[in-house]
Amino acid sequence: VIELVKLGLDTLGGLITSWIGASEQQRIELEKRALDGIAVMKGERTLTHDALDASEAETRKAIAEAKAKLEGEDTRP
Amino acid sequence: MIGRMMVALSIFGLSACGGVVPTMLRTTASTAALVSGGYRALRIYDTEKQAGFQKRVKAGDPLGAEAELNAYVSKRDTTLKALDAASVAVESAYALIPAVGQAVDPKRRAELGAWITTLMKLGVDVASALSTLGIRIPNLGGGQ
Repeated sequence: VIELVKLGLDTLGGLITSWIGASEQQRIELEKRALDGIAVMKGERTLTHDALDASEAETRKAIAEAKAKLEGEDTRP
Repeated sequence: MIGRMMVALSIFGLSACGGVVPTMLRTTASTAALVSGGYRALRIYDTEKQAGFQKRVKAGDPLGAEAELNAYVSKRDTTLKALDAASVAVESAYALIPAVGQAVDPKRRAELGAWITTLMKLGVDVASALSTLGIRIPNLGGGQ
């Protein structure tokens, strides 16, 4: 009976240990997914700020040049 | 053997109590993906808008283009701020996730639960801010 109880406890211990192993593996995968996601997000953030600043500056430059040209035409004798 | 059982049961108990951690990790990853998509969508949208303004300038209406640009930039920056707020929150949330094997007490669990709610709310805010510009993210806020 004692041997059977020992065998039962050993089996239970093995099951719990394998469950913890699976849980840790899942945790590692989730950590990786989150970290990769954050790295991509930070890259997109920098890229977007730079792109938006550049495109707005370009448009404002074109507007300024066109306005200057119009003003030049207005003051032409 | 009993010692091994005790260690296993202790870790089992901590893992069971820490069920909020996988949820937090999933929410963090999902929100990061949503925010990344938002940034990409905003860049594409901005490129189209700027091309439109420049077309108007070339057509000889710089003042009209400027007025339209100013109105657009104000709305665009509101959306950009929503994306930035969400991205900063994602990073803050990740930094709070306990390390492997670290115990999650009820107070910490409640704190992590509150962060999950915050991240989900920020995700909705991002989708809402994008939709004010007419940008729809598929499967969120009606799709495209």
